[in-house]
Amino acid sequence: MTLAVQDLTVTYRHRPAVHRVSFVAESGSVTGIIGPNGAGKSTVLKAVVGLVKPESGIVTVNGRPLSEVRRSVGYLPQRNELDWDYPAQVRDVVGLGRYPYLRFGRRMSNTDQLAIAGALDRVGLSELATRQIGELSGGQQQRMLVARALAQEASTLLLDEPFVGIDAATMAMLSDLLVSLAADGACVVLVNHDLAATSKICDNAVLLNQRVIAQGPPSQVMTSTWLDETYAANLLDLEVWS
Amino acid sequence: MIDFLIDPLVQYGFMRIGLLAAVTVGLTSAVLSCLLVVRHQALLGDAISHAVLLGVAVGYLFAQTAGIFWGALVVAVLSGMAITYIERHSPVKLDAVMGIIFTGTFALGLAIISIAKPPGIDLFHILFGNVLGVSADDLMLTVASAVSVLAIVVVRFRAFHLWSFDPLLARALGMRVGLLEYLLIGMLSVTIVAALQAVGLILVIAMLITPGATAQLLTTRLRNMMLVAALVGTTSAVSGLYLSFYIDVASGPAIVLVATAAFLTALLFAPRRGVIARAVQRRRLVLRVLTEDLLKKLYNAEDRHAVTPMDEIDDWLRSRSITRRYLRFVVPRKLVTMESGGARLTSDGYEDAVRMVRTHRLIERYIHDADGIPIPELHDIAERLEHEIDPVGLRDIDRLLGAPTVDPHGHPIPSASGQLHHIAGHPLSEQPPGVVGRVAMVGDDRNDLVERMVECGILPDQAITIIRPEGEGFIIRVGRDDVLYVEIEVADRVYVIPDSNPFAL
Repeated sequence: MTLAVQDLTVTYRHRPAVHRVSFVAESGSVTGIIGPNGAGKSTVLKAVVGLVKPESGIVTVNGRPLSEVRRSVGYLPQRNELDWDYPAQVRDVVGLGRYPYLRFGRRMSNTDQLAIAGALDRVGLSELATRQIGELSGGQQQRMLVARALAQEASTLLLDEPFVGIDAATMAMLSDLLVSLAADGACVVLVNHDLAATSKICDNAVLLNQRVIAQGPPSQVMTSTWLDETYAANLLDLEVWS
Repeated sequence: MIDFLIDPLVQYGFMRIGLLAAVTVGLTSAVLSCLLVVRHQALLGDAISHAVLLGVAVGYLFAQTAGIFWGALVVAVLSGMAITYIERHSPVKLDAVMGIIFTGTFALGLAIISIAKPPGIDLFHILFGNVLGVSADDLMLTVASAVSVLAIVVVRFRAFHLWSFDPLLARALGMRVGLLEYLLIGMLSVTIVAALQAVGLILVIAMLITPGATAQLLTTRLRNMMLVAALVGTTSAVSGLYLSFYIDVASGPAIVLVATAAFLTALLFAPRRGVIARAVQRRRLVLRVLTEDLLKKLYNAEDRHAVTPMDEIDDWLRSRSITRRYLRFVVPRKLVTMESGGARLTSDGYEDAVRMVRTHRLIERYIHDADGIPIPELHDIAERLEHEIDPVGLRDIDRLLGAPTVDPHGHPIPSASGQLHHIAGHPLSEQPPGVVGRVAMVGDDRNDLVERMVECGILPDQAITIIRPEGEGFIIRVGRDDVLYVEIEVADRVYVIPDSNPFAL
């Protein structure tokens, strides 16, 4: 699995949100898209899965256009985009990951049930399968969304700010999970504004502030020159696009 | 009783038809209300139903009574689509758009009716329904629309589920959510128009919100929510209709009032989310915190049958009356028994206490290692978190840390099965001068003293030499060079294991 983004440009209301962004995320690795608020990180992720229409640019998964491989790409929105009072139990939300495999009006098959159980087990939430989703902690909610992507049999995982509102300790657990998924061959891409956390788990970092400032292994990219440039660019233009 | 229910149906044909119509409308609008409620679009039904008045007026102008149904349907669908379109393509927010469309179309409808004064339109019936005036043809239409709406919901249930919970993922998976949106508007329009006769435009709004909102208080899954809402909708329809028959209120309001009563009942008494249940949960939480704190207080690692004197408990809780309140709660639960002069843990109480101690110490280990919380602050934070964490969360922590056996103060962490390894070493104050050793653990019951220990560098595994007693305290050497004085309160709380070569670690 290789996710390749080439020359991606997105415009919001006639202003460039991101400009000519290119990067490659390989299977077996964790890629972090890092930058300040308003740098266009979430926009990149949304453009990759087709939630916002790019002005130009090409996104391919294994050389094929996204429209052909949608179900192999798991998208995890920011937690605050979801309604946690929604009447659903953990197993229901994970079950939504099976949607692309189901026929109209048919019941779930054994395969589907096994995929759900396996996904829950992998993220350590089997015991909480029948909990109402609002009763989970922030970290557990995030792991549930990971399980949903696993039930979807997604080999590419795109996570939008997975560490927001999660204490450092739970964050360690989630990081471990993501790293182990990558070790099993998944292509993990996450968006984050927190440098320290991301650099610890990423194999590949993309510093973004409307354009790609630098990319490569965190040890090489996380230098003060690059970071200053990434975070200073925002001082020039205080407008925040989220 | 049975006669009371059956007689009206046997005697009056309009009651039979009215009942069927009301139940059908109650059922479909209840199912749709669930989708509206979970999508936070409860007012969409409101908007469309007001627009229907315009459709009724226009339809009548074109084709008299025969035009009402189609006029209403067309305007309903168009207004719903207009709302969606304007919301997507302008900066005006959804609630404002709905407000404008529904008042505008409603006003236009009223204006047309007031000018044309069509003889076949009874405004009161259109607004508030006349279930007992439903004709057999109307009923056929109502049933047919209900069957198609319910069939669509059943067949596309999962699509509606995914779309209403996570529209972003729905779109990322390539689902055509615009189609679902228009499908929902279409179903709403058909349902509202079909409800025109039975409950009227204004009251169908209630049926498109209340059953769903009621059901959400009672269920944790979308499918169950729909089933419960359907039950609320149909029961309200039936009981409202009988009320109207026997006490002569208008049928529409009677149906809505029953549904409202169901909602208020659920709001108060729902088992988990009701107002009362929440108050009980809060009170239980307070009592649980009290219990857990008391159990930990009575816990003695050395002796599981230790009796803690009442005075000591009073001291800790600051008054005898508070002690009594605590004990009144835990003694009947067989966690604590009263002995002469004090309180003792029962074996159940002891098990709970060990579990609490484990939770507390694991959390201390965790927030120290993972969050970098300094040692003097650990105790207070853990005191709070230990009551909040659930067993699954605790197990996750234990796994993440690799089942640690000591907390950052050097206290042993009991295993998941309650096994506790013995505290090594003895208090510094009980050892003779000249002893060289390592710190095994430090007591954490007083924050000021923990801070003092950290200041002096007295932490688990640190090398210590006891030089001599001095006044109320001791002169000790910490590490290789630091010679300092510690007060007796500190010396009592620092446990030292003699070790001739403490630097080997």
